[in-house]
Amino acid sequence: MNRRQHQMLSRLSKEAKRQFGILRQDKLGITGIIILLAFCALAVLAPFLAPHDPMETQKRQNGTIARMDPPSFQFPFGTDRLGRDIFSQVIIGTRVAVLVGFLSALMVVFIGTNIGLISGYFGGKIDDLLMRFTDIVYGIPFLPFAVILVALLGPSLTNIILAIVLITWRSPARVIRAQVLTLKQRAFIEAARVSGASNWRILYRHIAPNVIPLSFVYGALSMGWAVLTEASVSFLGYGDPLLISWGKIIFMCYVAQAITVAWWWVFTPGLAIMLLVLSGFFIGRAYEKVVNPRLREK
Amino acid sequence: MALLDVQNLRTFFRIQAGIVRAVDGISFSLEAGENLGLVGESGCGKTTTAKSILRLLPSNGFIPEGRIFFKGVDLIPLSKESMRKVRWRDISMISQSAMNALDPVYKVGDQIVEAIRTHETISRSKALTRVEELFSLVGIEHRRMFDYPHQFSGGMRQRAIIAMSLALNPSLILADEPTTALDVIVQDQILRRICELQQKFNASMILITHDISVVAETCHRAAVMYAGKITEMGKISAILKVPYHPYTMGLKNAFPSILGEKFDLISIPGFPASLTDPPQGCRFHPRCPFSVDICRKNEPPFIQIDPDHFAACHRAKEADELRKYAAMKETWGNGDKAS
Amino acid sequence: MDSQREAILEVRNLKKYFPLTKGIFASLFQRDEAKYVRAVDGVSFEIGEGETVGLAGESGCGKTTTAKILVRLYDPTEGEIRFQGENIAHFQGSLLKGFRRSAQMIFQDPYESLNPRYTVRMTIEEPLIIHQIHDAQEREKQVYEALHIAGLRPPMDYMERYPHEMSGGQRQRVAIARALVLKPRFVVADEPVSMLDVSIRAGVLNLLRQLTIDMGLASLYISHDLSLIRYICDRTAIMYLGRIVEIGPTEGIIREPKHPYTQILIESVPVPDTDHRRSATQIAGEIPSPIDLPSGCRFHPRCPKVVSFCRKDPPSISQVGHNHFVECHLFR
Repeated sequence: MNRRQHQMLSRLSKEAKRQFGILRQDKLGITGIIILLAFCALAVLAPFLAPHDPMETQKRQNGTIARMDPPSFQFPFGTDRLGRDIFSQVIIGTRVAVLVGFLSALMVVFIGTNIGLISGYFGGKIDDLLMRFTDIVYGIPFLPFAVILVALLGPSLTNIILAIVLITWRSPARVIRAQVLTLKQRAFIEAARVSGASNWRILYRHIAPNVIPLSFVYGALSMGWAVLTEASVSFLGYGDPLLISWGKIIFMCYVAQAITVAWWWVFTPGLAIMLLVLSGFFIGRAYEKVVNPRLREK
Repeated sequence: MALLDVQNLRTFFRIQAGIVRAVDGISFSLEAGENLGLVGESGCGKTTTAKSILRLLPSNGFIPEGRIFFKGVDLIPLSKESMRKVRWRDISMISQSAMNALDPVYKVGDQIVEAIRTHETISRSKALTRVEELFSLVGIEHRRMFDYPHQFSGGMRQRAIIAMSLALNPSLILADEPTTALDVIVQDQILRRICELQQKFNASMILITHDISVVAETCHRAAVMYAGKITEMGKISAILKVPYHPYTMGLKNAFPSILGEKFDLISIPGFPASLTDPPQGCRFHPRCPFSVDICRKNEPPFIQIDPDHFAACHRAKEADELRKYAAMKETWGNGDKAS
Repeated sequence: MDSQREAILEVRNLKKYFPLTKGIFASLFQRDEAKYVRAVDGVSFEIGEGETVGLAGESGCGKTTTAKILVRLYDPTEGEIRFQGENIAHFQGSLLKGFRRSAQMIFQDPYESLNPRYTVRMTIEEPLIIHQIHDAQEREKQVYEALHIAGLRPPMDYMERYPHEMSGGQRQRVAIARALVLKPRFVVADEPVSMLDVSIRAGVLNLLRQLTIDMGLASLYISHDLSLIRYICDRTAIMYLGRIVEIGPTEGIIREPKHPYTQILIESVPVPDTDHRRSATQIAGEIPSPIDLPSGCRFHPRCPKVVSFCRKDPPSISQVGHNHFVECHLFR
């Protein structure tokens, strides 16, 4: 069995190298990966990188409270109404963003891919049922649903992630199902059936590996959507009260009626949101080239 | 003067891995009213040759060398505009994926009318009359002009494409595997039809195919291609009866016939030559059972055997002897490395 | 329709009808019966142990559908398929799996019938895993042997390769190895060489011929190319619009075809001989749709030898030679 694991590992690494070779050619994709890795590092090392305690009121050189200070050497991205360092807030907020992004992406991909696989492969009534359900979910407006759910169940990070996952799976489910429908017809699937393979074997050992790249694309995109949604929910005031998140920072600026006065308060968290979401979209787009050879440069 | 005179044509493609030498120095000519069969397996360069004549190469294709004289005029340096005039009017093409060449959302008759009116200024009603005539020629009922492609059977679509290719009365037709995807009865009908029409219009034809039997029945002359080069050229009867190139001898062994004695099929060992990194010397030498030293070093010259029979082989003079060995299975090896 | 050897496969009155689905409005407002594509409409034949039978015909005649029914990729609408005495037509579950161990298929497209993400080893090993050969070393040995007999030598060179790293001929040999690794008794080959280059076909055809002898395989060889069928098949059945119109020893059918359709089919095959001039085929029209079949004999609208009976009654089977049968009114 050891040799078998070794073979599987070498196959996976060969495949990973091949995919990376394609991704490498897409400059935006590489940029996206770099940004994402930077944010991940930031999230992990946040407590050590934040220059000040984000919740602590800071004082200027001359001893006064650093209330609503524009960016300076001491506070690179300014301070808020309570004199807290925005830069530190943004750095600590990275943790929530990255956590929400990854967890949501993982769950969305898992649920969406499996539903797509089962619906597409088995067809018939199962397909009808699952797809009608997907249609219903498609009809639900995303942000209002998230807000309502969080309002009902309580503003915790778990509930926010729940809201995101409960809706976002609908996109990969449809697309994966479409791909499964075409894969189903291919001769190597018939060949597997003639060999005596069971439906589950065909589904998870023949079809699934061929749809995984498409799942990845939706994983990357879902990360972007998740971060955006969490920021929106927090901005509307329904964020987790115990945690700092980028949306919450902007929310607090809004509540302080300081948006027109303290541009720096909004700028940094806004920029962070934009960069992380964009990185997700860039990676997703680059990964499309792995899925579809025709998109690659010759 | 020959209708078509191709001289030393080279057509290459740029790809990531380097340069594909799809056509690497071929020369042949065609008289008016004559049929030439371009025979070879996949990747030998026959379709690229046709596309080069019509200058329909993809963006990464280019012609570094060679001349293609059509009615005395070299086509290669022509401007895009001039070339557009030549296409369809003087030279038309029936391509392999002809069945997919018809736009599914337009009626068949309309598509042919559009093709005609793009190149000629005539009224729509006159063009429709021409389509009626063409349909009679290819054996499709007139009323089918108003049908969509999906309502046509495969054979009918192919006949529609042939009608389209004749619409402007070209002097040269390039038929690229026109019947490969069709059943044998329909193939027979279509090939006969193409030959009838070609004679009627006194057009010349280059028939591109991998099937020697089809060439034997429809063409006067043939050129056998391998790895971007012409290996043997001449009257098809001569090539089949007394082949001078080992590749032709090998191909003969590979075609089962429905007539005559059953013989053991013999395959040619090895793989088709790489077009990015072709073998030195004769391209066929790695697979040739008769290769000797000179074959590995020097490219073989085009040796003239008869006024109209050429072979590119260093050992062409010994062909009579070699032919005897070529008929024996042992000559071609046991296929230790399966191809 | 008997063969001379012990029959390993007996097909009796096999039918496969595909229903045409109507749109919602049509089914609401039109009261006529559902229409069917009668792809296979009553096919019967036998294959003896170690015998190669060809199934020839043009596209749409039902030969590929018949092949797929025999390996149970489709379920038959009607009819019996007796394999080694048992009717497998409606086998399910473990019975079906047991049948699959003895009956395999080689597909037409070498580029499509292999999973692009599986190595050669994985592709050939899979049937062994499915049929519970648990010992990894035993599996390795059988994969090795299968590659060897398929002509991919030395096997170790090919084990870890992916399909895109191999030529068409090599891929087809892998497909053959996969089909034979379980040592089946019966193989269906669906146009196994039609997508290969001409110079490669001979090798694969010779391989199939040799394996049939070495392993005592019974096989059904599907092709539209009669010259290939002649090369490899002992007996041949000619299909038209879902029925077998002629069946008999291959040489006999080719030299002296009896059914008018067979005659036209053989006349149409091009020959690599410039001296041979064939006469123009006298067949009219196009192949009719398998939804609205002609009355009586289904070939009558296009038959050059049609007589009055042909339009009214479907023909019955007549024997015209040793083991040679035709379905045509001209022989009643």
